[in-house]
Amino acid sequence: MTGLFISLIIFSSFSAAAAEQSHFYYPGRTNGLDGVQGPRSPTAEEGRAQFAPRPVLKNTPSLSPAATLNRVSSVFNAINPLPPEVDHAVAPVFREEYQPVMPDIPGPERNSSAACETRSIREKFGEVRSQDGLGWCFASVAADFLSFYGKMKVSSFGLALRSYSRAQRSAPGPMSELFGGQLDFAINQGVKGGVCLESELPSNDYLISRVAAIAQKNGQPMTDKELRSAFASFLVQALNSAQALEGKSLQELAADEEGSCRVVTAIQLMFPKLTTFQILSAFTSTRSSREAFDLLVSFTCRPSPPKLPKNFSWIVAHSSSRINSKKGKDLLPLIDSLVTLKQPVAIIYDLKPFMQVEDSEFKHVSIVVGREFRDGKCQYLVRNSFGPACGGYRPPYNDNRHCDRGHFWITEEDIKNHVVQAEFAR
Amino acid sequence: MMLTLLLILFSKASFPAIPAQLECVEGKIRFLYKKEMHEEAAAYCFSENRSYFLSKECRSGKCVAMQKPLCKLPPISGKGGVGSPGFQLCHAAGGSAQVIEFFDGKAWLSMDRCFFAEDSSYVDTGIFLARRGDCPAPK
Repeated sequence: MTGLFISLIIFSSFSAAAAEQSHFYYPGRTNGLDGVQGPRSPTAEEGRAQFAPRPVLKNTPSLSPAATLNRVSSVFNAINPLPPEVDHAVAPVFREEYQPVMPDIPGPERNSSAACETRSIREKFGEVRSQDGLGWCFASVAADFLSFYGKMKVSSFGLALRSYSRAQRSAPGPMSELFGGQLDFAINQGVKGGVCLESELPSNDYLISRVAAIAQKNGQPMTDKELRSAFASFLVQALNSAQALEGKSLQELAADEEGSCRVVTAIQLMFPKLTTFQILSAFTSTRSSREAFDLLVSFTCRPSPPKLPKNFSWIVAHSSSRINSKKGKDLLPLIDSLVTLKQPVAIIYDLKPFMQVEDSEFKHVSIVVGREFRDGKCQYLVRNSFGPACGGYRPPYNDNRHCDRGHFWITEEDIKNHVVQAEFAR
Repeated sequence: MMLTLLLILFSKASFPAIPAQLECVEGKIRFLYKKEMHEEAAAYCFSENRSYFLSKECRSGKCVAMQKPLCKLPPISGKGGVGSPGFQLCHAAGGSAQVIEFFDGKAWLSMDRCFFAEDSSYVDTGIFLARRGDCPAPK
């Protein structure tokens, strides 16, 4: 290893630049939570003064991974000085242009097994999650992180609902358009607002499984159209239709008995253990369907904060892709150091090079859980959240050498070319 | 719970989306429904690393899950869409995507499948997505 060189551009945790890059980021973020007036946003000058770009670390001789991480952390502290007690959701948003010290920095050279020591924390996470019919990669990853550090099996379904329900009202569009979310927001909601366990709120139960089971067991009780509709988006439908219940009194709901019943039935698919009364009371005692869903989660599992290590904090690192010829080149040393220390690191990356999808703009988030010298290259193991199947990956990522039960191996070049952001706990 | 494997077949599949070597068994699948696990008998095949999974009749390609036309379906996009790509494609094709577990003779393993009620055939959502990948690129 000739040396580790670090160059990281850090904006704030809720960078508007990230919102532009990633589809799972909320649009139109402002400084309020649930529409409540938040603290005054600093002026542009105040923002620049507080978050002025700091010099990036110069090229350094070989550092140990721990030393590398310490140096990285010191940069993060300098640039993103949000105190831990500040809720990210009410933190002001800053966007700061950054001028690189070194525009093109080589990553670690690893052309031998000795230079690419095997590391794995795969077993600590268990089987991969399945996002099912819902676009909540951010919730799957957040649940994995909180499970890893809190030593529990956190429900990604509960975390997603909690995140959606606490998203700002100012975010335009119905809740279905918020499918896709923000990893650090979900982490924050889990840390501050509590989590449900998979045993209390199983992520694999409330979705398509039960509808399929009904169809199989009873010989298709629904028409094809109904079945397709239900499979395609029944949760989205439930979330959207729930808006019809917002702010209504019990008398008003009773007046539209048929409509109310339809919505309640849809919601009961998600929360089968709750009674009609509990569902209706959630909607009549809250101001919005988001708050109502938050309450429904609470009825179901009484979320409690995970027991995380002291001083748990969350770090977001953006690639300086506009400057470097390769997107993730500057993130590779950071990712590599975290893997060496056996710490999970989330990567936000282009999905199309790896998966049979047709949208080249789509960004996805997964976790790097291992490293190994394979086929003459240093490769990193990615824990995805699309279930254990491997057939949907593009060649060669779908073969036995690259994919195993929903995990797939990527090279350093893949990271340099396709990763735009890394997030981790410190 | 013990499962008796009544039949084990090793067969070679001839479809690019399916691995050449498959182990086929008369086994059981199970799934969560209202917090309770439901179990049923089924005949299916899986790859050596358990990353590919399909109903037995699909190994020859003669099943709805392997023959359903996919090339003219709308693009699978993450933008504004929901769920994993395999689930999206399965829904678009009129199938029923479902999270299940299957028994391989030693352990229960989770898997996503795309199920078609017409002939009760299914393949894992990855195989289904790979079939879409075999379509000619749009002009």
